[in-house]
Amino acid sequence: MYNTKRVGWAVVAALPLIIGQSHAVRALTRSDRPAAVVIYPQVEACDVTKSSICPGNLNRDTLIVLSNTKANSVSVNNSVTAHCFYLNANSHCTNSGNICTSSSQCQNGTFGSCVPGWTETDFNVTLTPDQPLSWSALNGLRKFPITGLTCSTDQSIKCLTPGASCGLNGTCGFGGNSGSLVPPAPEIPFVGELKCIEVDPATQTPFGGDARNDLKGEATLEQILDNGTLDVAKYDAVGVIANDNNDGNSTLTLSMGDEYEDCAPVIVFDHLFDGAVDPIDSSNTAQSDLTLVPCSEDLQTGNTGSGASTAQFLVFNEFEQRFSTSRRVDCHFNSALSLIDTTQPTRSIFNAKVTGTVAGQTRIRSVGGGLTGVARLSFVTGTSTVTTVGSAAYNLHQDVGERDTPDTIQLP
Amino acid sequence: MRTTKSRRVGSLLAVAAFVLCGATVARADTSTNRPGSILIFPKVVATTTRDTIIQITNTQAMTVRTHCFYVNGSLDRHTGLPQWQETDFTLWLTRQQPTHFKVSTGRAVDPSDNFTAAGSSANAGIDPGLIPAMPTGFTGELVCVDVEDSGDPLGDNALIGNATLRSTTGDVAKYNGTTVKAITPNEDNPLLLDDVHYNACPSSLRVDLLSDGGRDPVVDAIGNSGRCLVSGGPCRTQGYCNVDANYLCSSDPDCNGLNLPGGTCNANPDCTGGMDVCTPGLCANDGTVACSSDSDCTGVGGSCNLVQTSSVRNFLTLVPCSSDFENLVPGTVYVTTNVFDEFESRVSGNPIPVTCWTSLQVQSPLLGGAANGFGLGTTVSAVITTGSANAGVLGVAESVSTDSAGNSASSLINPMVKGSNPGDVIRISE
Repeated sequence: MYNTKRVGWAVVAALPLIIGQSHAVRALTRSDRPAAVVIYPQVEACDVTKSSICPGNLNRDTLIVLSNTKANSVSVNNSVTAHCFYLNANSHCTNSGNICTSSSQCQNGTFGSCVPGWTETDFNVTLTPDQPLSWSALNGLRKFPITGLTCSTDQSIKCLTPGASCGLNGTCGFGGNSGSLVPPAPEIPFVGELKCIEVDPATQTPFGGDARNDLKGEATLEQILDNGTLDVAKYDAVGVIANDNNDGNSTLTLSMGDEYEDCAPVIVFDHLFDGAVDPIDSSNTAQSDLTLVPCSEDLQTGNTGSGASTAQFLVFNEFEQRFSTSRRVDCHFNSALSLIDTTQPTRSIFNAKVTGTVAGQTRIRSVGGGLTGVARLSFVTGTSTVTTVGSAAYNLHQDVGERDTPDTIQLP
Repeated sequence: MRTTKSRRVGSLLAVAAFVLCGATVARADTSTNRPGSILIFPKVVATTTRDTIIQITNTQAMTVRTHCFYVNGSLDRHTGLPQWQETDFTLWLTRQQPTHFKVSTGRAVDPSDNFTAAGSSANAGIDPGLIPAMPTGFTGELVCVDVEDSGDPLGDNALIGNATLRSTTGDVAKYNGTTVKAITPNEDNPLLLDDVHYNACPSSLRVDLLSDGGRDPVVDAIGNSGRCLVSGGPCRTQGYCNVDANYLCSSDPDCNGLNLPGGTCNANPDCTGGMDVCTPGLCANDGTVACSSDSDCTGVGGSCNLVQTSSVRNFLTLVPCSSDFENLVPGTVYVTTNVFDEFESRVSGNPIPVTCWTSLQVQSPLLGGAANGFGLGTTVSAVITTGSANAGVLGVAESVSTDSAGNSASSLINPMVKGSNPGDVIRISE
C-alpha cells in the first residue's frame, strides 16, 4: 500500500540535497561577465625602430581596456582598485641576457642557451564607477582623466566632500584615479600576459566577505603587416569569478565553491586546421595560434613551477576521427597550432594535410594546474615565405567537469 | 482515476518540483564560451564584399540534431524595414563532431568530398545535412536549436560555435556564438527563456570601445598616422622629427643625435626623396608648411590642420531574444543606449525599437543619438545597451580602425552581459 507519509518525509528529507545540488551552478571562468580577476593571456608589443628582433620585423602593440562595471552612487564609493601584473614571458640568453627565441641567437663567442623567463611587473589602477580606461603595452599610461575629487559633470571643478552636489547637477566623486600608474611593457619586444585583481587599496589584498566582481577587460592586438596595412584582432579578457567567502588574504584559492571559481577542467577549442584552404578565398590558407597560461601563479616568489601543468589535446576532425597529443605548460604557452606536436607542420595532427578536413575541435584537459587562454586565427598566403593577410582573436570555450586540485594565485 | 492518496503524493512531489525549479532559478546565463541548447549568431553576412564562415561543434559524446534558422534582416527595398525572411534547415552532428559551412554557398550532402592525400577538399567530413546558400546581400542572424527527432526542443546543452567574417580585402573578424543553456526544458514549443526552462537573456549588454569617431592610439603610435609633406604618402609620425617651416628639428630623435632642437633633420625614412618629412598636419594658410600644432604655423599664420590620421568606427548589431519562427512574427525589443567616457560623463539615447535585426554605428542618431558626436573627448567609451521589460537583447560589437592611408581592419567582440530578462520566448517550426 502506498504510504504517503513515508513519501512525504522522503521528499522533505531529500529537499536539502535537491536544493544543495541545484545551487551548485558552475561559474567557471567567464569572458562575458564582470569578474574579480581578469586575465589577458596574450599581450605583445614591439617597435622595429627600437628593436631589431621584432617577430616578423613587424610593428605590433596591444591596446588594453580595463573597466569598472559598478554604477555610480552618491553615498557609496564604488571606485575599484585593480592590482595588475605584467608577466614577461620572454626568453633570454644565459650568457648575454639578451632577448632570444632560440639558442642560436645566443652564440656570440661564448656558449649560451635561450631560456624561458617569467618576471612580473606590478602596478595599481583605480577606476571610478562605470569608467573604462585604456593603455597600450608599448607606452603604458601616465596621465589619468580624473585626479582627486572632481565634479562628475565638470572635471575642472574640484570639490572637498565626496557625494556632495557640485556644478550643474553634478556629484563630487570619491578620489578619481589617484594612485594609478601604468608602466610601459618592461621589454621590447614583449610577449606575456596581464593579470588584474580587484583589491582593497588599503591592504592590496582582495576584500574579505562578499564577492566583488566588478572588472571587465578587452585586449586588441594590432600589427602593421608586411605591405603596410593594418591588422586588428580583439578578445575579451578571461574573468575569474569571486564567491562570497573570501578570507581577504593574499592567497587566492580557485576552486568550485571556494573563494573564487575554478578554471575550466576542459577547454574546448573550435578552430580551422592549419593549412586548410580558406573557404572564402582559396588563395589563402588558415593558420592558428593558441595561447595557454596557467591559472595558478606565485607572484610572490616568481616560482614558475607553481602553475605548471600538462595540457592534453584531444583533436576531432569533421569525420569524427580522433587524434591526441600533449605538451607541458609552465608559464606562458604560445604556439602555432601545427607546431604543438611537431617541428614539421605538415605532419602535425593539427594540419589539414593530416586530418583531411577544414574544421576541428580540440579538447584541452589540464593535468596539474588549471589553464586558460585565447586563440588567434590568421589567413596567410605563400608557402616558403608566409605573409599574413589578416587575423582575428577569439576566446576559447569551456566544458563542465570537476577539477581534482584547486588553483592558487599568491599575491606579493 | 487518481485516488486521494496519490493526489497527496502528487502534491508533495509538486512542492518538491516547485522548490527544485525555484532552487535552480539561476541568474541569466547566456554565454559565449560554454555549450548550450540554443546557439545564436547575431551577425551573419553574405554580400559582394564580405562572407561568413560558420563553425558549429557538438561537444557531447552523442549525436545531436539541430534545427537552424537563418533570419534575413536586410532592409526591404520597398518598405525600408528588415525583411525578416526565415530559412530553416537541419543538422545532424555525430559525437564531438565539428562542422563548418560558408553562408554564401551553404553545404551540400556529398559523400565524395573526402580526405585526399594532397590535403582537404573544401567540404571534406561527415556532411551534417543540406545547408542552403543565402542570397547575395544577406545580413542577419542564425539561430540553432537542439531538437529531438520529432522536432521538439531538447536540452542537451551540446552546441558551441563561432562565426568568421572575411572581407574581399583580406580583413578577418571573428566572434563566438551566444549559447542559451537549457535548465529543465519543457521539451515543447515554445522555448521559454525564463530562467526555469532555459536561461533568460540578459537585460543589458556592455562593450568598451575606442571612442566612435575618435582615433586609434596604437595606429597613431606604430602605424600610418601622418602624411609625407612632399609625396603625400602615408607615414609614421611618432619617433620622427617635428619640423618648423624651415625643416629644422623641433624635437628628437632626429636632431642629429645631439638631443638639441634646432638641428637639421635627416629625411624621414617613410618619406622617400630629399627633405620630405612625415607630418601630422599642414598649416591652413599655407599647405606646404608642415606642422604638428598651431605654434608651428606662426610664420604663415592660421591654425594647423591635422591631416587624416587614424579613425575608429564602431557598430552595434542587436537582435531581440524572442522570435516566432512558426508564425513568422519577428521579435521586438526597445533598447536604450548609454555611453560613458573616461570622465564618467554619460550620454543617454532615446529608446528605439529593434525588430528582427539591426546594425548601426554607435554615433548613429537611429541609436537614439546617445553618442552622436560624443566620445571624441576620451580614448575609450563604455557603451551599455539595455533591453525593455521582459524582452532581452543580444548582439555583437564591431570596431573598424582606419589609418591615414585608408587601410582598414575590423574586429568583432562579444559584449559583457548583465542582469536577467526572463520574458523571452522562441517558437520554432516543427
